[in-house]
Parts: sequence; C-alpha cells; structure tokens
Amino acid sequence: MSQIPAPEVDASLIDSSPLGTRSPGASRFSGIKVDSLSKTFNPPLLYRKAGQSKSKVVALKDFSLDIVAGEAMGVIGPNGAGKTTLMGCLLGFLHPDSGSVLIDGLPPNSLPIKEIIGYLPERLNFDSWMTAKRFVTHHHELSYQPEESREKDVEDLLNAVGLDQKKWDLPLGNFSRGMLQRVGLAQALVGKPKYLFLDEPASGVDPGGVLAVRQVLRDLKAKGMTIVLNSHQLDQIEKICDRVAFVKGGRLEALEDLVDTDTNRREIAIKFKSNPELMPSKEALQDIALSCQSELSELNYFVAHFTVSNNDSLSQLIKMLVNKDYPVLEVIPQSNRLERYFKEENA
Amino acid sequence: MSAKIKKDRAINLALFKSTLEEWRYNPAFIPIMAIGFLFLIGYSIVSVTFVDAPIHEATFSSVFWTALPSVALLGAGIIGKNVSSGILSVLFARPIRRYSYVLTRWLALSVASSALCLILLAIEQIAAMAAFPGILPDFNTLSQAVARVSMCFGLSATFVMFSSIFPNTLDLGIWIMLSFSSNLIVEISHIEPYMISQISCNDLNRKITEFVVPICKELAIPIQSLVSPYLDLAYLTHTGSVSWYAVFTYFSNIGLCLLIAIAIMNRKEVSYASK
Ligand SMILES: Nc1ncnc2c1ncn2[C@@H]1O[C@H](COP(=O)(O)OP(=O)(O)O)[C@@H](O)[C@H]1O
Ligand SMILES: [Mg+2]
Repeated sequence: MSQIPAPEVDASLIDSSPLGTRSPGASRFSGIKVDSLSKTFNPPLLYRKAGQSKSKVVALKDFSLDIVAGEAMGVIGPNGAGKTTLMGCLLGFLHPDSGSVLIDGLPPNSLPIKEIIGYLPERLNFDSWMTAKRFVTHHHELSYQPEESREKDVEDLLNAVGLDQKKWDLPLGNFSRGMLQRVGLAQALVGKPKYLFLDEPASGVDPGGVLAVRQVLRDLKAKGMTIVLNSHQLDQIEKICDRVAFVKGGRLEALEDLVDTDTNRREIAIKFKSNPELMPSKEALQDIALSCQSELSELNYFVAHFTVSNNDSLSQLIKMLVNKDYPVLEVIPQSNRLERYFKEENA
Repeated sequence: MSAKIKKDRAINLALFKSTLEEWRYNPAFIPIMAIGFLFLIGYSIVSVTFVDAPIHEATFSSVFWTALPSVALLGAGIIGKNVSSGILSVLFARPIRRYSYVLTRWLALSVASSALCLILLAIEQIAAMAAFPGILPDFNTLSQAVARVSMCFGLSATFVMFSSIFPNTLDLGIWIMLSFSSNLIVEISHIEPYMISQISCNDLNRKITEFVVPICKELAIPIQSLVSPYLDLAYLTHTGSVSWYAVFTYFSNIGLCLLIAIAIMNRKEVSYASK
C-alpha cells in the first residue's frame, strides 16, 4: 500500500498561479519539470557599494531538467553554482526571470503541491525558542497530519534521524549544526512527502549522523519517494542517487546516470604482491594497457595507476594481467566517479 | 485522506497557537511584563487617588498609552523578524497561503495585546472600587475597553504593514518617526490664518506657511488614524446616533494596512537571510 498521497488537482489553483505557463498535457507528467529557468539577482539598493553598483549575479541560466517521480536526483557543483537558487525555484520561493517549474503539472506554489513536499534548507534557521519535539509537532500540525497519531509520528521521526532522546525537549537555540540538521530532516519528512528537497543535508553532521541520514534516505527511496539532493558529499550522492546533475555557473553542465556504470572513464589502481622478481616492467604494463583502451598513468613500486575507458576495458585489463601470471593482489577504485567534474575544474 | 479538512483558511490555527506561545517563551517577556505592569498599576493607583473619576474617559492619550506599549512590545518585527531570520523558508514549504500568514500574525498580535490592555483595565477598575467603595463599572469602563481593544487591533494592522516592508524590528522605528511627524502635522494644522502674519514678517515664510497649513489640515486626520486608529465610543454616539463614518474609517484603515501587507508578502521572495 502506498502511503504517499496523490495530489488533489484543483483547476482554480492552476489558473490563478503566477507561473501559469502550463502547456497542454503537462499536467499528466508525474515528476518535476524544469523548463529553461533563468534567474538573476540584482544587488539590493541599500547594500549597493560604490564599486559594485552594476554587479548583477546570474544564478541560473536557461536551466532545464526533468526529474521523474520516484527517482533520486543529485545536484552537485562548486560553491555559488546556483544549486540553492535552483531549489528556491523548485519550491516556488524565488520568482524566475523566465522559464517555469511544474511539479506533477502544477506550479510549486499551489497548496496541493505544498502538501506533498518536504524541504530541508541549507541555512538552518528554525524557530529557536521551540524544542526539537515542539518544532516537529508544529510542522505536523501545519501540514494537517492526523492529530491521533501526532505524538507517535513525531517520536518516530526523531528516532529515525537518530536525535538523542535527551535533546528532544531542549530549545533549538542551543543546538549544534549537526543536531539541527537532524531535526530539520525530521521536519522535512513529516507526512511522508512524495517529493523531498534536501539542501546540503550532511554538512556539519558527524559520521554517525551521515550514516543515519544515508540509511533513512535509502529506505525512503525504496518506498518510492522522489528525492532532490544538493550535496558536496559525492560519495553520499553516489550511494543514494540514480542520476546526478552537475551545475556550474548557473548552467546544467552534465547529467550523469549513476545506475549505468558502463560508460565511464575512470581511474583505478592495481596493487601487486611486493615481489620485485614477479613484477612486470613499466613498458609491459603500458603495452597491456594500450591493448585494452586504457592508459598507464603512474607506476609506484608495486602499485600501478590506470585510466580505463569503461567497464569492458577494465575487465579486459585484469584478465590480461592475470593471464600473464603477474601477482595481482587487488584493484582499488581511485576516484569517486563524480570527483572528476571537480578535477577538471581545478585543472 | 478520509476526513477532509478545510485547508484554505484565512487564519491558520497552528500558526496562531505558535505565535502566542513564542511570546510566552521569550526570556525577556516575563521581566518586561512585570516591570510594565508594576509601573502601570502604580500609575493607576496614583490617578485613582488624585482624580475624581475612578476610570477616566477614553481620551486619546489614556487609551494610547496602554495600547501602544502592549502592541509595540509584542509586535515589533511581527513579520520583519521572521523575514530576516530566514524561518519563512520552512514555514512556506507548508500548505499555508501568504495572506493566511499575514492575517494570522495580525490576529494573534491583536488578541494578545488586547488581552494585556483588558487585564490592565480590570486592575484599574479593582483599584478604583477598593479606593471608592460603592463604585461600579460604568460607561467609561466600557468605552475604555472598546477604545483599547480597537486601538490594539488597529495598531497591530499598522505594525503588520510596516513590518512586511522593513526588515527586523525596524517597523517600530518607522512607526515612531511617523507618529512624531503626525503630531507635528496636527500641531501645524492648528495654525489659523491670522496667526501666520504674526509669526512671520518674512514674505517667503508666509507664502510657505500659507501653502503648508492647508495640506497639513487635510493630512492630519488620515495620518493620525493610520498611525493609531481606534473607536471612541463617546464620540461615536455623542450625537445620539452612531457615526458610521468614523466606524467606516476605522475598519477601512485596518483593511488597507492588511491588504498592503498581503500584497507585499505575496511578492516577496523567500531567500536565505541576508547576512
Ligand atoms: N538572495 C540573493 N541575493 C543576491 N545574490 C544571491 C542570492 N542568493 C544567491 N545569490 C548568488 O547567486 C549565486 C548562486 O548562489 P547559490 O544558488 O546559493 O549557489 P550554491 O548553492 O550552488 O552554492 C551566488 O553567486 C550567490 O552569491
Ligand atoms: Mg547552496
């Protein structure tokens, strides 16, 4: 049984929307449709300094992306790339200069959509006088969840995100960033939203918390929740997301399918037994690499680094090394496959 | 989704509750309230002892000086503080309309400040009854109650409007500035033509004054009723029938303030707090 409520489609809400650029048939699409969004921030009049009087910030430029219901979409990119701005547009908090966002065919500001989303902002500014429990209860009330199960739901949520029970009745003003992250996540999960938007959910959380968050998100994804995840923790993105969007300078630079691992060029290291007599020469390794569309990038005593062009070339490489009786000990993935986006950036 | 709840309400109950609660949890709340109350109780005891009438007529200043502290204390930054602190990003991710947010904050502020004013009035009444045995609540008590509550609702609307425009608690500053200038305008509007020739021997000054005074006369009432609108029961009924014009002015004032606040909030982008 699906616990995710279907959105009620109310025609009056569509027509009154400021983003009423709905194309016919768009309402049938289940998921998030981002259509050529552009967003420029003008510096506020009061804060304009003499030298920067003309500095506009183009935070999003012609950004289009479809997120299918049920998938987990990761969003990565350097600081200031426009990830949080994208979130703001997805939630209807920012008015884009042009373009549109539709969630299940409705603009994000319509009430039926607000009922099926959960959001954890990047900046954890919550009502600091509330206790953790009161805060989650407040959001349980705000989202019209049934009163009968309120107490139990709130406790379940706080347990799920692993917040220490001793902290439940302390005011949020005294919380560390990691603790706030957990409370914020519990808040976002109130009412089992169909769409979950998380902006940097792991920054400032201790390793135990990162694991807890990852486990929660995997469970939710398995239950069919759609997740949009901004994160700098590439390994977390890789372990949770189906696809990942690389954003830079407000543009969608690349869209990568993480489920499909076959197409990717990546670096691996092969470790040999530390026996100089059995060790192949550099030239031998280079020849083998070349014959299976790979490249030897470095040889460090008993560790050889290769760049392989795909899965086939990797398995071929291993097979050839083993066939020649070289003492292969282990194959170590060198970079997380998403890191390369940032490496190219620095190069 | 069996029991269908009406979600498109003007007043959001959960937000109303939490707004009232927030004041109670403010660490500065109890001490300030205690000091304020002691001061005002002292004031009412002194005035009961020295003035004949136990409860004053609902003059502007007697109403004003109880309503304003209550509203200003609770309401400074009623919206602006939320905008500046960035808590709206989690609130507006919930199914709540912007106008509902504005109206709920306004109602909570009005109700809480009215309650403070009425408690104070009750204390004054009890003090009066203790000082003058045999005295009972009369028309003055009723008109004080009406005037205070109406001014709390009116001032709350004014604060909500300024608070939706200005960040943090700047609304209080703006209100005070406007209040001073409205007093000034009222003073200027009292200047009569024959006085102008007396105050100024300079021709230019006279010209300016002749130009400014009529404008001030026009502005005095609207500005004062914007800055501190209230219903004066004695004035409303002094001709024997109700002055609907004054009632209409009062309510249209509140309505206008709230409409402006809603329009501004509807256009506002929810962005992270600008630090
Ligand atoms: N409210 C705002 N006002 C002005 N500039 C902003 C605002 N929000 C974001 N920006 C600018 O837009 C760019 C993108 O920011 P953001 O979306 O927060 O990036 P990211 O989340 O990828 O780090 C940055 O240059 C940032 O300074
Ligand atoms: Mg960001």
